[in-house]
Amino acid sequence: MKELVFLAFVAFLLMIVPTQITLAETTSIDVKEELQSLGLRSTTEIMSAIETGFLQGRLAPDEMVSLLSNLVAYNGEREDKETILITIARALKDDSLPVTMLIGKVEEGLARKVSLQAIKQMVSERATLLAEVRDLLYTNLIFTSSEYGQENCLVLPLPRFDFLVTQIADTLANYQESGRSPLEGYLVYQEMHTRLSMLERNAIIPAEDVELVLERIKPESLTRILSNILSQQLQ
Amino acid sequence: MYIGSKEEKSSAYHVQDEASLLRASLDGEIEAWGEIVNRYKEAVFGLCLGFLRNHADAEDINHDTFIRAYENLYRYRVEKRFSTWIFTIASNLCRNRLRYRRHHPIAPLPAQMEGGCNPATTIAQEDRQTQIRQGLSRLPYRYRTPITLRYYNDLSYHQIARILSLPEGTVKTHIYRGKALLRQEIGEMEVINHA
Amino acid sequence: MHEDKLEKLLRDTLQQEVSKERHYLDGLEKEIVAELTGQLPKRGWLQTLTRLFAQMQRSRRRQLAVIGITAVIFLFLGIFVSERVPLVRGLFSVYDKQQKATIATNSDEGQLLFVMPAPGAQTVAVVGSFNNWKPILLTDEDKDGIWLTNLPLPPGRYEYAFVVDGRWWGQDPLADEYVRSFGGYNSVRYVGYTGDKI
Repeated sequence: MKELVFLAFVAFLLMIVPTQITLAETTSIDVKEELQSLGLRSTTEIMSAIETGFLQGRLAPDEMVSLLSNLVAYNGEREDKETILITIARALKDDSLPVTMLIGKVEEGLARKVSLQAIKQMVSERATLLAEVRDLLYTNLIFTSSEYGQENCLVLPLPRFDFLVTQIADTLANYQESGRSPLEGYLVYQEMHTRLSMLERNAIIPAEDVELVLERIKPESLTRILSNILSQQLQ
Repeated sequence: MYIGSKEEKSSAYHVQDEASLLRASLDGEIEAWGEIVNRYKEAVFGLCLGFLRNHADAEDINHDTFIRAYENLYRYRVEKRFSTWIFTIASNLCRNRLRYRRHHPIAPLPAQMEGGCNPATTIAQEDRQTQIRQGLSRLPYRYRTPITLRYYNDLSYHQIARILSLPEGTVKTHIYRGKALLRQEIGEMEVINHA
Repeated sequence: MHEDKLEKLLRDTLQQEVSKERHYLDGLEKEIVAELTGQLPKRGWLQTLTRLFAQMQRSRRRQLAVIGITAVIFLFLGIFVSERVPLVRGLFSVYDKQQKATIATNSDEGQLLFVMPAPGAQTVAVVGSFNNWKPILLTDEDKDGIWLTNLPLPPGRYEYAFVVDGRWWGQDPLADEYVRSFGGYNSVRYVGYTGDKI
């Protein structure tokens, strides 16, 4: 019986994979074209990172086409647009971070018609926050699996891990942008608690993930991260 | 087997297999964990040194790895390969330390090894090793890590992929590119030396 | 350089580095054991319970069984208590009212109703993280100044704002929370699997 189910699954995969590849190839070309129309020096590096993102399932072609076409149309210095894209590319490829939040913030900034300088600053800070939060989870032995579904007691599947990293980083960013003191560790922790609880209440993340984070992450770690960001801003 | 005094127990641990030691550690026999540390300390230290390129950090992370691993040992599945598990912990702690070091840098390993020559190596070999050490310290982290795991820890591509949470293809590519960069580095040094 | 030579050189170099630093590892196991022995509290009931639970986490079936049994126990307990304790019964009725209020505001599960009172406005749109901040127009069909749209959305957390004649309004009274962004406000709402079905 198990073998039949497995065979059916493989047959299904064989059916849908060619379709997906065709679709992916089509939109990857669209992404490349939009990127090239920006005329940046780092096109190759950025495109390489984007392709990595597609492979990892961390980026969708249509969201990249949307971002790039909005950047093309936006009035501003090419260097600033390049810096924004490089920050996202490096976060994705070099640091292996989930970058959906960064893309969302760029889109929001463009929609609000804020300066590219402000968007650049926002993206850079949030990229740092993502990395700090990811490393904080690692330090507390909350890991992610490889794309090939490694089973390990300390591991969350990549999408769940990415989601946690993103939500915690977003919470810290919102806290910081609200102007409150980074030294009030228990307040930051409370914000994170509220966010995760709301997500759990709406069944958007599993309760076990919330418990894992709240059990292991301490207020002082969050204070340290926000203090680091603040001292970077002041440099 | 009769287990008597502490000294007798310690020597008994030396001959036990890994699974027995891990089970004993889980039962609270800390000395058994000491034997695990004894068996793995060099491998983990080598990994940390290869990744981080300074011995102070490598020492710290080596130490932290064994403490953290013990604290979370009850989550480890005894039937899975222990080496992969402990190397994964070390690898992730190294990445965390590297991020910290970006904002608080310290001097890397000296290219020239101090403390006397190994009479078995020739001067030419020492020069080459110096070049390799320099090259390794200059390699991007994503190339240095699989190279260390492959050529120091002697792991397969599959094991490296699990530890670094990367596809096997990416691991091979990174190793290939890292070696190409090292070869270039040595080639350039040879040109300079012969100039 | 030939591939084999480079690989040998790499191996030798890495080995040599570790050999030179090996003295740092002397006595590490004793140090670790001493540290852990000093750290470890006596194993009490809490540690035993944690250990049991962690062992159970390895078996999905056992996990589900424990969750199921606990849920049933608490369900019966809840029914028992609410039937017998008037104060608790009262509290539950307040909770019911709140649910209904939410239901009256939001529409079906997976749908989010956006409402913006803007009499005299020419265009009202909602922009948000659900569609990369592209404007979606609201309509005011009966011309009463209340602009509406209903969006089908998958479960998630969404930031948004209204744009009334080109001006951003980030504080929707129907929002679950507000956040600061780019010097302004965004509203936040959650769409959950639990939903708002009556």
